[in-house]
Amino acid sequence: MNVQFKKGALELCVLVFTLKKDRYGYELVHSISDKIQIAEGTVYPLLRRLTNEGYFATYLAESNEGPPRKYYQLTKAGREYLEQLVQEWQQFSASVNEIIEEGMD
Amino acid sequence: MTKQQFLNELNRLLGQIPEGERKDILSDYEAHIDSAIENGKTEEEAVADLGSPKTIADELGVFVATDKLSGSKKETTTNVGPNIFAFLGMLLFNLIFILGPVVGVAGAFIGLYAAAFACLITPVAFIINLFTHDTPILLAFFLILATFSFGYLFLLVTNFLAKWFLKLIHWYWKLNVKIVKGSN
Repeated sequence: MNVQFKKGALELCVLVFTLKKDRYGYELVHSISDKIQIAEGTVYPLLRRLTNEGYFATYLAESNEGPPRKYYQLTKAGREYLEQLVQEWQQFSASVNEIIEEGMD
Repeated sequence: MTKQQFLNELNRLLGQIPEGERKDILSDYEAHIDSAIENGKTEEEAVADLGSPKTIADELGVFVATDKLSGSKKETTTNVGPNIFAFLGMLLFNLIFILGPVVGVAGAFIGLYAAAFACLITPVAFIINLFTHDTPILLAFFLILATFSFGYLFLLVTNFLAKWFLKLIHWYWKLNVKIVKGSN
């Protein structure tokens, strides 16, 4: 799949996964790589950027097994950004689907 | 590749990133590999699924560069010294080297617009001419058509060039702002 395209979609997925509850790195990456084929390592730079841009806040929390985990929490700005991305995505994919339907008739 | 090999390689590739941040990045990957192993992957698989350290470093490289930029922007409020110098430097440079040519080119555009406008109103003169002198009507018609089309084309071309000129100025302005804001 086109790399730039995937990157945009990846950003959207990461934000969506954190909407309902805070997630830690592995959980987040795993839930995406379950559905989309990606190099898992490339999600962390994305998480870092989104954190630096203020869309995520991070905190450490104890886990049952092993050392504390870093959790990603969607901020208010992150939620607004997500809403904007989802809207753009829906418009975009609706247009693409329309084009496909018209072209494949 | 083992976990340690992966982390060593990534650490080497991220050499220019400050140590604190680099450790933070590495610990993300270490925790990820550990979790993957807990969830039943072998160390080898867990590392392979991450992709190559090179790919990760490339991805981070871009972000680190932008982080530096935004970081220095934040500093502008506290650390004014270098920015004032940058500002004065840019001001001096612009006054000496940029202002003259820009005013010159802007003047040239005023001239070009005036010329285009002159061409466009020339037909009026021909029309008046038709009434006062007995110019052959066909000749007048062609002259009107010719000067008017020429004037119109001239206007289009000038407009096009002027747009690019404005874009260039806009770009240069942004460049200036960037230099003054991010000069650390």
